Amino acid sequence: MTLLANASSTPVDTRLGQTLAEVERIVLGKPHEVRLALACLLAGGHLLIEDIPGVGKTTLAHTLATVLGLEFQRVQGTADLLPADIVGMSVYDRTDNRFRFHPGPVFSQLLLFDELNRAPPKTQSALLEAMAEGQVSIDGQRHGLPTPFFVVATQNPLDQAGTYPLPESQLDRFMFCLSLGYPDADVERALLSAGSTAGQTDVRTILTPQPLLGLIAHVHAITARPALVAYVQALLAASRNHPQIRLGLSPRAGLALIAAARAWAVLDGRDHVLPEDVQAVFVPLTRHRLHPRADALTSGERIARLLLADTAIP
Amino acid sequence: MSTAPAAPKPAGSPRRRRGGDPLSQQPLDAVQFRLCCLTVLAALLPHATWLPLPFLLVLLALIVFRWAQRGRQTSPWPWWFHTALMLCLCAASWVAIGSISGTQGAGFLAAMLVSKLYEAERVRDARSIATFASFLVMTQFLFQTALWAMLAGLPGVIVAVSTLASLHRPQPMTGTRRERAWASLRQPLRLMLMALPLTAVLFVLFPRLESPLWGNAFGQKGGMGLSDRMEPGQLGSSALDDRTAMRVRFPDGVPPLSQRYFRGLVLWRTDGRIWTRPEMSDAPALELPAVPDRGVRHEVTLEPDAAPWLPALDRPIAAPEGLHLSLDHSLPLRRGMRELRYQVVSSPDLALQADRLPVPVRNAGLSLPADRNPRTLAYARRMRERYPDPADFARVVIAMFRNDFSYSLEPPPLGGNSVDEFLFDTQTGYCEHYASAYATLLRAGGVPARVVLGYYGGYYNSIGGYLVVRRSDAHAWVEYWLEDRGWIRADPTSMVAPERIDRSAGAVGIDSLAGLRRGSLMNWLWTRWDYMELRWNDWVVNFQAIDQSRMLQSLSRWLPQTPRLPGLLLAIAVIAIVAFVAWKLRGQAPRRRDADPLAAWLQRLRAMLSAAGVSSHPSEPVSVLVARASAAYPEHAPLLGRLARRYQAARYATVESRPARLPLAQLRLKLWQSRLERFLRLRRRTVNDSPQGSPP
Repeated sequence: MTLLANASSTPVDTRLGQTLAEVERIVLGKPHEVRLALACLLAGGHLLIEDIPGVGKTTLAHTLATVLGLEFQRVQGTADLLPADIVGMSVYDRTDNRFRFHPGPVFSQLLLFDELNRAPPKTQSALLEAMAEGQVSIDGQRHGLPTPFFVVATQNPLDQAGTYPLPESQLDRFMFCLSLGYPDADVERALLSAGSTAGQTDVRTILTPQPLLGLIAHVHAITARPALVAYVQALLAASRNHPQIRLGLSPRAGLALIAAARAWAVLDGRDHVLPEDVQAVFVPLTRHRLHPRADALTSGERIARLLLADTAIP
Repeated sequence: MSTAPAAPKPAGSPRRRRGGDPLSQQPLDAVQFRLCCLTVLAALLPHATWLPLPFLLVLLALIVFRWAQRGRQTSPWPWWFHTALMLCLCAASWVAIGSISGTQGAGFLAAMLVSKLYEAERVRDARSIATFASFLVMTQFLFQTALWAMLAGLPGVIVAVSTLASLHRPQPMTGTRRERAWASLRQPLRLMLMALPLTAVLFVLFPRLESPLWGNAFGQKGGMGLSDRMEPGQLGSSALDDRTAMRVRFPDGVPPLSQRYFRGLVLWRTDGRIWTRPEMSDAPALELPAVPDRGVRHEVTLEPDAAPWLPALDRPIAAPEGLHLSLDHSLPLRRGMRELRYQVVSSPDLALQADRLPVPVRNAGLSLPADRNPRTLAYARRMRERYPDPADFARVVIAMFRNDFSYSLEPPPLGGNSVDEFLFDTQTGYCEHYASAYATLLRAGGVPARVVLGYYGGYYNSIGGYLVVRRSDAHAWVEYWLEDRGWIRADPTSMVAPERIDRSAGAVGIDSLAGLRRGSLMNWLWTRWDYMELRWNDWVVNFQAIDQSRMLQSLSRWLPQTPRLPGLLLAIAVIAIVAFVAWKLRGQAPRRRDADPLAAWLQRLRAMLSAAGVSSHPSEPVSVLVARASAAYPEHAPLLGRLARRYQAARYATVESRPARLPLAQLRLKLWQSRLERFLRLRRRTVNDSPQGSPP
């Protein structure tokens, strides 16, 4: 409801508008998800796209990287993927008679980690430090990652064979968990008639990293008045008291919620956050953080919607 | 009021717990108990003017003792203590005040309130103390109605309401000491302000009794300015009484000082010492003089209990409405009457009974006890023989006072032959002595004479434009009768103390307050205070049944004179009540408007839209709500959008501003309008459709 109402409004920054338009040109029929993905990156968060194979997860990540002009690396999650394959390793150099560090694919501005839940847990947790702190430690040495640094990971639903569920601590590192879902019938017809990889090659780069960093700084300066903070807190408290939830939302989730709502407000062309913004980002932000009780027979997403519907705006 | 100890109620009694407020059973803490003591003290304050001092001191001692005692031990007193205390206080009230019922019963009530402190153990007791204390404050109006009395009662009411409020507060107040004090003071003040309109309406409209419920509303203990008798040493005490006796307005200008004799009662009968008034002189005047063209019109506002009759400028020629002039041109007050403001016309140089004096009147004006004051009688006869002309005789006798006599407010006491002693021994006194002696001399010399009691002088209040006459301005003078000239006013006091007459009582010596009053600041303050007091008397104290009916009559003149008027008034009243109830019931959800006016505004908007068929949930943002409402009422979409944007800006925007004015009335009106239109359209369509829809 709210989402539709807001998706049609115009962004304040024309570059943001062009960015959105360009991504939507490639990822057909998913304007809201595209907008959420961009909001996630503007808020400085990492993005998890969870869906069945073949609905355009990778396409979305790839297109975002290209349009934002980010240095892009890609890792495919497999069962034998080692941590060193991601963060890099020190290799002995005969000519210099010393070890030299060979950075892995994590040393990029946008890391696309395809099928993250197919990688073994050790490899998954290697990503943890990189995502949380923007640096990696190898052989006792710390190596800073470039800025901005985004991780866009995709994963298949857990009921697929041969997957390792992500630990909760790592799930919490992802700001959003998006689900693309099947396209509408019209969109799908258009997509089928255009061909499978249409437009992939001619994606235009709209933004460069420097203005993107400026936009991220701008997002942090957006006003969130006490009344809004009170609303966010009420949502957090409601999640902790809900009978069907095993584990409520953490304060870090609350911080992420405000940051994401700020980014959404920027995309809406405002300098202050409204409860509508919080509601728009609440479900993707919490569906992977809310863990239902074992006997609840429900999903995080449904509980997130229930929380929204039950919590009064103060 | 029960002084029996608060018997411990069975704790498990479910009926009691369900019915009562659980707070009321809690024990009193120290602060609450001290508040109770303060409440009782403040309630006693206005009664301090009339309660006997020893009695008051006993009550104060009881309060202080209880205050100190409860700090040490908290176990309740045994039942026999309460009984004994009540009996003792009952006896004390009886002894000190003389009665424990009637208006004097207020003293007994005060004592019972103090004794109630001794059984205050729970919040419930304290609440009854506070309620009782505010009643006690009100009982002071049985005795006094002056402006200062109302002001003296204010602390009692404020403290009582504040105590009651604190006794209903589930949690103690937070904040600094000053904040708490201010909050506990602000609440009763706000409540009293809120009650003011209703009080004013009831004051004006509530039916008044023609006469007060308690007989003479103003008890006899108030201390008369003047009584209806005169004996040596009586006026001396009132010479120090600085209270206002009456205020007089002269619409045509204040007469000169030499004419400002305010005639009260005329005293005819004397036993040689005391002058009194025979009943017969209350008879109506037989012949009323034709009202001359240039009478002095004036309006007198008499302070309660200032005199048992109505003073008027000498000599009144037309009585106020409903009264009659007596035989000797005074205005006696009928029993049970409370005429406190009246208009009189006077003529200072009116000749009374100039042509002839009826024999009984002449006899009354000459009668003297033969066995009293022998020296005076002999002296008067001698003088009359020397001056056979009555006019000469009167002039010579009054001139006698010019030599050897002195004026004093503290003369030596006189015995049975008071006139003899005064004339030949002490030769010191004030107006009473001189008037009494002069009248006796005249009568003994065969000239009909009588004593007039009243007021003289007065102080002109330039702020209010009226004359203030104080009780210390009480005066006595003499009237004697001459053939062809009638009754003539003679003031022997002016012979001995011209300054007493030139200025007024205050000018003479010992009246230190009056002396101070001439200081400019005191004068300034006093003038204004007196003016306020006059207004208070005019508008509040003297607002009586007759004023009420007069006011309602003049009001009815403005109303349209139609036979439907009662129905119209009834309809207006019903509409007003319905509107009030609807206003009270609007928005059922609990709201804290003080805490968050914007939230209250949103609440009202939700309620309004819900009434218009667009229901909402508190979790729904205002933009969504407004979008749905706009879909239902497209014609009001711009207004709805504007309201929503203003609300969002006030609550969430970057620039923190005072909440913008968010007018809902317009929306309310438009929504009603739309719904009405729709309803009518629907009706019309139904009406139009029905012939087609009905089978042929």
